[in-house]
Amino acid sequence: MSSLVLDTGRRLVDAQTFGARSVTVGLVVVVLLAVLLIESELLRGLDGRRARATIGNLTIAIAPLLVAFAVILGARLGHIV
Amino acid sequence: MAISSDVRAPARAAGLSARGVVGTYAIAVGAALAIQGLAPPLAGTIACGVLVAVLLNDHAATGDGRLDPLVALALLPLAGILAVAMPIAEVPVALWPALVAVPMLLAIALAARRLGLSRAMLGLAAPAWRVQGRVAATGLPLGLAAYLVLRPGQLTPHEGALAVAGAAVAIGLFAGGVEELLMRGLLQPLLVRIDGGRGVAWTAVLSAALYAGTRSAAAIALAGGLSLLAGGVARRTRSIAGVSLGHGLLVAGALVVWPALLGTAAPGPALPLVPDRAPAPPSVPSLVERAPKPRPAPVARPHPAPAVRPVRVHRRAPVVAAPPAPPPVATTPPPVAQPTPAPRPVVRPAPRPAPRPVRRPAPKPPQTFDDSG
Repeated sequence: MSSLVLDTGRRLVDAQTFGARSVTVGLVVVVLLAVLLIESELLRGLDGRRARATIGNLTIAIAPLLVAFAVILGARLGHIV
Repeated sequence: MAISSDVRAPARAAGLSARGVVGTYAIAVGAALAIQGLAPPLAGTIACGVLVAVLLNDHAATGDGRLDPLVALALLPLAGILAVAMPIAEVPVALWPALVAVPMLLAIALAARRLGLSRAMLGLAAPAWRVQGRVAATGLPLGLAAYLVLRPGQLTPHEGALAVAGAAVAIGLFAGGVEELLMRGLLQPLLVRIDGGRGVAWTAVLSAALYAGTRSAAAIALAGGLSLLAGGVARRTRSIAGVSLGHGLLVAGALVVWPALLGTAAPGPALPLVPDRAPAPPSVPSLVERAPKPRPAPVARPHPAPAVRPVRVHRRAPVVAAPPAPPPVATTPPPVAQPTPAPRPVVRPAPRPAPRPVRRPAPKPPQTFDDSG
């Protein structure tokens, strides 16, 4: 994990501006989060064991991505304000 | 376990065995992490995103408890995504791992709850401290060895002892501890459950893939080898306390403490504390090329910065250089200059006879000179 952040993350920060990162990896993350959220809400309408299992699994990824989204939003608001 | 294993196993689509499915996905996860580390991160991030969705959906769709490792495997690409998505440039370098580790801790807790793993199964039970202390102590010499072999750049250059200590704690706790909880605490027991001792090797290979971003064969090999040892110890002692502390000491020593005490052979890469101020809109360079260069140059070149400052300077250029040139002529002189020439034309038109005598004699003499000559 140290290498993921300190090498890969740093290389990305060095190579791209915030705007460029937002429309590349940032977009991927937002799309992933949106897909997972939509799928989760669609499955919520279906009552079934499998649907509940899938929702439970998706929550594992949705929750940390929402935390990341909140942190990114906070950082950008901090820049603007 | 949230999904019972034996009852619903036949529901999984025929073809690969559970071991084959997990192995295939493990290879895919390792490849995605390697791509993200070795290639431009966008491709690897897309692969990671796809894998997260597929792994979580597949596990739920098959309903086979033997595929529980898929949930744990999904957390590796998730960590890869968070590593590039988090606004790490906004915080000090030592806290970068914390930005990823905190949401990852949430993901680990949710995954453990979903899979019905207790604290003891995660290796968090009260350990035999004497044994675990010895295991943890190996992190000190290993950190020095890793520092001497890899010579990483300094994370906290020109910082005081307190800052170095804080950075060491943050790096050790969030980078070392959380990684061990994910790899040796969550993933390895699930892999061992379906593949026996090979699960330790699988975990070590995936741990090595996490270090592809170093682009150093020595670092990747070191990570793989140490992960193999740590996996063996964790499996034998059924606790991750020692390996977590040892990992924390290792990374804290190799990345923070030893570089601060002994320096680095080559200075570490410059860390962009404020890299986001650089963005240059595409219109700016074209404006720079069109704008008159001599005017901004004497004002702007006192800021000789690479790639960032010239952009700011040229933004100012059309604003600063253009107005000063016209205004001195148009605004300030008129009130001073107009009053003085104004009275002269008013006074001189009165004596009109003056121009007449000047005009008439002027044309005549040249004619006479030309004729005589």
